[in-house]
Amino acid sequence: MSTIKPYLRLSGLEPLIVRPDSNFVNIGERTNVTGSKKFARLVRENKYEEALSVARQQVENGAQVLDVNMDDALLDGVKAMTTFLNLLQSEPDIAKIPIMIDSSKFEIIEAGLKCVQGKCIVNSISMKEGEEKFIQQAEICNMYGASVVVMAFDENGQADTLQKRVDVCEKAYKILTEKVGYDPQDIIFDPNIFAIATGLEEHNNYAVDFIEATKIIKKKMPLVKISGGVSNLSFSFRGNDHVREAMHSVFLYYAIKAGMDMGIVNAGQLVVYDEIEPGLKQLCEDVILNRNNDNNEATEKLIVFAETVKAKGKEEVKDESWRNASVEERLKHALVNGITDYIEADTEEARNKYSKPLEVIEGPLMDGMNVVGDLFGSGKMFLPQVVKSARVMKKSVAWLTPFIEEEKKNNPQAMRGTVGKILLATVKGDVHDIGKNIVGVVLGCNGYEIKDMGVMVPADKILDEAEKIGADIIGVSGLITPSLDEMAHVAHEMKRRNMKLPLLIGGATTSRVHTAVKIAPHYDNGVIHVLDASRSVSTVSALLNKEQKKNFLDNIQKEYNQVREQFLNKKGKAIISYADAVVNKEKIDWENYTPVKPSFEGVKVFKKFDLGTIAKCIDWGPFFIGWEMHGKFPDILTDKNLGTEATKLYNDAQKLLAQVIKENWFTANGVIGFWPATSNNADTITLQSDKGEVKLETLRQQLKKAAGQPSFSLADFVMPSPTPQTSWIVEGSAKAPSRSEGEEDPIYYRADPITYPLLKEFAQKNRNNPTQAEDVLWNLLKTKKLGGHKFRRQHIIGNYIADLVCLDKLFIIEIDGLIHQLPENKESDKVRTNWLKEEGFEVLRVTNEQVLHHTDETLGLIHTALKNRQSQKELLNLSSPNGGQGAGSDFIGAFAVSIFGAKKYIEKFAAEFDEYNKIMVEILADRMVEAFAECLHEKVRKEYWGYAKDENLSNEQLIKEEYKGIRPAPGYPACPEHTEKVKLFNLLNATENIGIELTESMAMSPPASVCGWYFAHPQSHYFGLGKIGKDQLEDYARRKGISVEEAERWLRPVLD
Amino acid sequence: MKTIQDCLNERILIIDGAMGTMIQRYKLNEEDYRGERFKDWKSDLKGNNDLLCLTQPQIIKEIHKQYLEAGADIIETNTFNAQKISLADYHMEDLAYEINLAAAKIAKEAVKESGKTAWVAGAIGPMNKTLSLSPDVNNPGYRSLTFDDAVAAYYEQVKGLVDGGVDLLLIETIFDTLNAKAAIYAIKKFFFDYKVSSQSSFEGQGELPIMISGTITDASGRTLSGQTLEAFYTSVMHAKPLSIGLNCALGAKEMRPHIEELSQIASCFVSAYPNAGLPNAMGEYDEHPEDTAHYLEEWAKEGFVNIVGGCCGTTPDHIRHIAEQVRNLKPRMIPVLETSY
Repeated sequence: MSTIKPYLRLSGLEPLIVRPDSNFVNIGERTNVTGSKKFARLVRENKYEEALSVARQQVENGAQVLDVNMDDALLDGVKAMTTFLNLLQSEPDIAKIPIMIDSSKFEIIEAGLKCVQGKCIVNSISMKEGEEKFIQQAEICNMYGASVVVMAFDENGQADTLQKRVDVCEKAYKILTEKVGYDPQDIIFDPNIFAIATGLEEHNNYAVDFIEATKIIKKKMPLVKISGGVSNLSFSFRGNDHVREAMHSVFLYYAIKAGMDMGIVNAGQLVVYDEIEPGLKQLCEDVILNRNNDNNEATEKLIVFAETVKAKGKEEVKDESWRNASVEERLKHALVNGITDYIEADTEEARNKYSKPLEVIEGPLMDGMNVVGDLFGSGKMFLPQVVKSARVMKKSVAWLTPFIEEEKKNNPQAMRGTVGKILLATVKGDVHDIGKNIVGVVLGCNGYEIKDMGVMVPADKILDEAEKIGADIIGVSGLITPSLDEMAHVAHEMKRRNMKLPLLIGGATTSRVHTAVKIAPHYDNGVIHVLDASRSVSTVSALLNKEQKKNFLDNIQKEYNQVREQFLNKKGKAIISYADAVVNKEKIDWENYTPVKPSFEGVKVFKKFDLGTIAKCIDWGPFFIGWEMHGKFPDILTDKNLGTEATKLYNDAQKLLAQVIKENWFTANGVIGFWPATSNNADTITLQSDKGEVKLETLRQQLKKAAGQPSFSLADFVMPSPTPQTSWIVEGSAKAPSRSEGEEDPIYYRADPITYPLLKEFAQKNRNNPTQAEDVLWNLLKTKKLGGHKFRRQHIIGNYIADLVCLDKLFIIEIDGLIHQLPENKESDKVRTNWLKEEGFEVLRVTNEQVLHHTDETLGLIHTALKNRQSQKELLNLSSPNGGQGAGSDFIGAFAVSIFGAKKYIEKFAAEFDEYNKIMVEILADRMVEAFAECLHEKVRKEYWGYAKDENLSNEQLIKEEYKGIRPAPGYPACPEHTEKVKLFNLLNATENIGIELTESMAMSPPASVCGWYFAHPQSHYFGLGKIGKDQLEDYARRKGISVEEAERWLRPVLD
Repeated sequence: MKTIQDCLNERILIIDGAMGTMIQRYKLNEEDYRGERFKDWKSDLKGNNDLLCLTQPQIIKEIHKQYLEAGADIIETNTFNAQKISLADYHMEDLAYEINLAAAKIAKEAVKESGKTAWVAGAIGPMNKTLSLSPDVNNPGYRSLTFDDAVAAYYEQVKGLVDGGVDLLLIETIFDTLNAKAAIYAIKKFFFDYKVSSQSSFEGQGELPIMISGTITDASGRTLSGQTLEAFYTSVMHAKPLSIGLNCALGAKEMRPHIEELSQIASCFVSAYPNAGLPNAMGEYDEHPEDTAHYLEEWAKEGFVNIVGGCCGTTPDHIRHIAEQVRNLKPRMIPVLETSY
């Protein structure tokens, strides 16, 4: 069922809807006799026709509402308002926008309301003459259907503190909504923008108060709007427009963030926030935010600055230094700042620099407009400024057009104009056409016949015209959000009319996702999102090519189906709590399952694996995708259109592959391993390796699923530990017996992947350069062994390095130098000790002095402490994880494989400019490593783990993954968190054993590498994790011993 | 009796067809228009259709009955031009209240005599002068009518209709939104005054529901005064109408995209009563009842409408066909009005 949102809706001849994402509504201020001397003079002299031009100029500069004010003692305000507004109604280009009728006299307001058919804004009414009068005026406004600006003003005067502002607005809100019957969205509060930097300290916080009041009012009354007269703010800098504009821009930047929706501004004069010179911007920020402003310090600084600007004189204020930059930079500057002064000369310069005039558009001009788009999107540019940018753009394109036309004459295809007819239009309700015009130019240059219907074109007009001219393709564009719905409407109508031609979607707010989800389902004969003008040519040419069209559309459809599915997965489904998800785990039949013991435990290395064997396992489908040839293998070899090319490619690949194998270009190294493992009925898999116990942390689906559908997690595929956990939250602090000194136990890899290498380096350094006390104690412990307890030194635990640790007893000795006596260090020592204690360690602190001068006593102390301490197993009271190592215990496996040697040949072909073979080698290396993984997996199933000894599958079945068990890779859909690779690498000793390295960002080197876990249970399967909730994120961070922020960074793609 | 809101939630209601077209069938002459009472009137009266409420009430009642019989749930009073601004053409400004009062009574009687359940909508037309446009090309700021005068004229008309007992007020065939805003203002003021002092003989339970029906004049998709459909709707939303819709000027074929748009943006019920096609070379409407009904059926199936009927050129036959076609179709659901973003 459709819904209607409670937006503020205004109208002139055209509607204006103020949405939360409307950025900022500019109200043109120049048609105000109190603000514009020129306008006042024209009205006084009865030159209304000329006065209209002021209004027109405001509209052209991007004003979305026009403020009209005739409050002048020398004027008959009622008459002037009536005359001006009546005249204005006959000017459609002005009357299209809504009017704000601005007067302090209600009779003038009412006179204005009687002249305007559209829905106006009254500016303003207030409670300054009491509640009764306020109600009466509001009721009249309501009868005319006008929205009202309510000034924060009551019988006690103008609200000038934060509290008063909020209180007055709240009171007015109550009256208007409860007594008068106003809809909240039709109420616009003006919480008073007063002049700041006046020198009076009590004025200094006015801007802050306004901004804060805005925040509070919007929070308490979310549907109301906030407006204000911005130029009041800088009143004390009258005559210094440079400073005033900067102040306005900075103020708006913060006020809009706080929730200001609209403001009365000079639409033509707003400097772009990002373009304010840094010094001035800083001064303005200080003054507006009342920072560094004790004793008017900030104010004084701004005044001093203002003087320097003034002293230079008006003309010199213009900063021309940007003229020295490159032509590309100059074009960008001109676009961002809306400067047309040099645009023709600069365009001409660029035209001479680039080989084709079109390249100027596609290059520097588009780059500049992208910057404009970004600034607009981030609220740093407002519509009027964008309008100015558009004007610069149009001027530049106009300069280039004759040259482009000239060039077309030399392009026989373009001259014939018969390649195809393309109908372009900006959809109804939208006037933004820069992008569409560029597309028109670009396509025109490529020989297509373009029919451009302009802007604001209703769907039926577009489709009528398309039928009339026999268009081959329709392209619709739009910038504003409602245009998206209109595009869907166009698609819907095309279906209703039974049309056959494809529809292209373009424009800044459009996206592939939106197109796939909202537009494409309306029409079956092709809806394609086109990212930018440069893509339009390839899209159009594919669509007009009879041979390519079907394939192209099929692929688009396939892609959009995927996008749609992903979107719906993401959007449409609610998330259940992590606790519920754990309860909803997949029921694996463990009762009737006897885990198969692998043929070995630990790791097995494969060096120089036979390339010929691997080659047989290659899945050629992705090979063709790699070459951007979409089709099924082997059908593609005989495909009507692609067959010849595909066969040639395949033959080349086979030939090269034969050479690769024969001459041993590649080296295939791999390593696999198996370990006894148990799961904990939640998301931790604990395995026993020769390096001790390792905990793998998995993630569980949390998207709400249909009844009976479990929430998958890889941990479910490993047999749960025989002693069920009392709680699903597993304390991540189990410790393992130690191994040899100096080798970090993987389970202590609590440090984040960035910190860990640093710690490791640090620990190594400390080990090599021990303090005297440490050295003494270490040697004593090593030799005396204190009851057989093994110690390690400089051992990494979490984010800390312990001086000495006995892992079996979870016992740490810290030897403190003088530095630990400093208060701040004591504090950090405390934090560290607390953390370690939480992890189950006991920390004994001894001083250098104790060790060096009371050595025996110290050893005694340590000995006693150790004796009193229970062993780790007792401490943690865990059932022996190895207890089940006999019958019934489950296992997990891991693998890492790599193809070495490709780089050399890639570089060689690159150096020979043989792109074809370069890419061929790259793709083959990728295919080979995948095949290697596949090939090893098969061996694992049949032989090394041997849980599917009788498996007998064809290559095709293998590709379709019809085998039992899975081999998911960290970083892929079932386990998207990459840092688990660290554990995998450590378990397999992958770097040492076969030379694959893991970069800090968890990428593998060489790139042709694959790693993953092996799960054997026949019910195990691949799945996509989908979005997870904050509760799981936090639990995961806790389990891994990393901060939530850190976990967030690695899990970003699966977070909501 | 169910309220009209209840019925609109359940089914598509039918509004009647053209009054003028039916009157033409009686081929009335000047004398018929004048009747006994106005036989010596100073100006010609032929064509003053609203006057027939006073001089030929039986004809008007008969037409109403024909529409009721054809299946109309809502019939319009014969008062399209019955306010003093338009009546000034016939020097009959002073008869405005009387004509409206009579028209309302005739329609109510027709409903009563038909024995059916139907609502009488007091028809409030656009006036023969506009508030937003200048009749003088050389002086675009000039207006031949003031807002206050328009309000006064509509106020009097509303009073007559309400006193005569209408169930609804229908501001229709809106060429100029400002005129419609004057009518809305007059209605609000009337009920406001009524609340303050109960001098009118109106004995209803409160304000009467308002129906608003604009007119898109040509292929530009705008009103005569230049507004787009959405701008028009935005400008009259404050009336909080029972329904918003379009009528006149266009046939169903041409009206379709606009009705579709309206059905998407309107937060109230949607009405549509197009002309019987566009006039032919002879200025006659010749779209067959089946054809009109076919278009409207399709709109109903698409879920665009709550109230359908006909305007210029349509007859009881058209209404009968329309009623039959949409009888079993679901009405448009009013969109959910959200109260937060």
